[in-house]
Amino acid sequence: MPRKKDDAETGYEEAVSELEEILAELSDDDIDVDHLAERVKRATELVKICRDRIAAARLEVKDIELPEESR
Amino acid sequence: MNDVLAREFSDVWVYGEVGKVTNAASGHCYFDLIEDDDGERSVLAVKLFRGVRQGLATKMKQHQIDIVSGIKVRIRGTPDVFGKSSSFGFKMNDLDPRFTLGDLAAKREEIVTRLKNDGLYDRNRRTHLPLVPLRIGVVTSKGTAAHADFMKTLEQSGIGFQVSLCDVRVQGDGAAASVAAAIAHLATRDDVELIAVVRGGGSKTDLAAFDDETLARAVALCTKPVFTGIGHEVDTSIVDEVAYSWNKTPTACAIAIIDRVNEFVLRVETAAQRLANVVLTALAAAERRVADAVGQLRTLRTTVLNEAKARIELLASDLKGYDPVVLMRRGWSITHDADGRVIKSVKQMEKGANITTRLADGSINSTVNGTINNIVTTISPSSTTTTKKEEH
Repeated sequence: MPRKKDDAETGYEEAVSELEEILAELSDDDIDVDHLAERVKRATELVKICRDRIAAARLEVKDIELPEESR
Repeated sequence: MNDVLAREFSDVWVYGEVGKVTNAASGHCYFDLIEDDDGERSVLAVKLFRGVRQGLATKMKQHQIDIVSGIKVRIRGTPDVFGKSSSFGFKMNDLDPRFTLGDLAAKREEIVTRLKNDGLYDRNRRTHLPLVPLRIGVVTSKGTAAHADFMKTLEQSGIGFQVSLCDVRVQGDGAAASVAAAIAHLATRDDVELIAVVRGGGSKTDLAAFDDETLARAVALCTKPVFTGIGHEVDTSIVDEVAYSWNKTPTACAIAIIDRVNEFVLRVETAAQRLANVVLTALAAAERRVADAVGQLRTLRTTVLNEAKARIELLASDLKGYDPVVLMRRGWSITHDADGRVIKSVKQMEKGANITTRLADGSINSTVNGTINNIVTTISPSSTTTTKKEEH
């Protein structure tokens, strides 16, 4: 089974890779129904993580003052 | 003196590098034309009067040339002596754009060659571009149309970008150093994943900062991917050439960043759709299996019932053979004594006893005249087999 991480630690690259691994696994016709349910649950969590992080926040802007030595 | 100069040196061509430039409120332009001949520096004060300037405006605009410090020009005019101090100068009346453009191109080629030789030309394109670059460092001149276009496009995407904005000079003296310093600083910040350098359109000479070698090196050496959106439709600057991604306008630069995020969004949504299909397919397969099982159970039940029914009918048919009425119809009878007991043996009978014999369609009342003992082994309504006979 692919490693399971806390959601907060799951970066986009890891999340989408794990999601695609699960989908490849689920494409197997012989998958056990209990295992299918567990994998679908994890995949759904990963989809939510990916969607939420992109769409949840509004555009934020902060002004950066260059340090004295950089001017 | 001016008459002599006008007669002897009218319409001469001179060339050199533009030094300090002063644009007067009157519309006249004054600049130094510098010749540096192996350390021997000569400076000629050039006057470009408003009328001449207006006459040259179309040509200069067509070739995207402005009189700015640092560019090389070949100009035509007349030397003159001016004012109380009788300072010597040059009244400009024309400009050769090919000279300036050729010089810019040649300089640019030299810089590009040096960057390639130093292994810097592709350096920034080898940095890691995050899958979802949401934290953007922006280097621009705040309040310009370029800044507004870039931010508006990011905002309209609906994606939660976090922008760290460095307000810099993007034109004139110090512009290249200012942009380079901002890039270098943003590259050190943990809250920046990608740096966008954004500036509106301008003449080739306006955009000279973006052909500056120091700035190009800063972009090339930046450890984070640099996206440019410098407004020139025709050519690219050296900074564009060494950047991770160059875009014709600030809006296009913002779109390139949004597209990168949207690639990921598409990947996630495709996976989500595939996930839904997998679940639907699995459910449909499970339903089919249940339906098949129910069908098999129904068939089995019908078969079992039919078999049971057949066996019951067979048993019923067998039982009919034992029905006394049926037997009586075939000739058998049952005889009772006066008390209603079934007479099973002649030994129960005495002469003169009243008996009743039941047949299929009624009864016969009789009186016993005598009995005969027979030992019967097989009997049928039509025949009897007697092994022993004894009369009483």
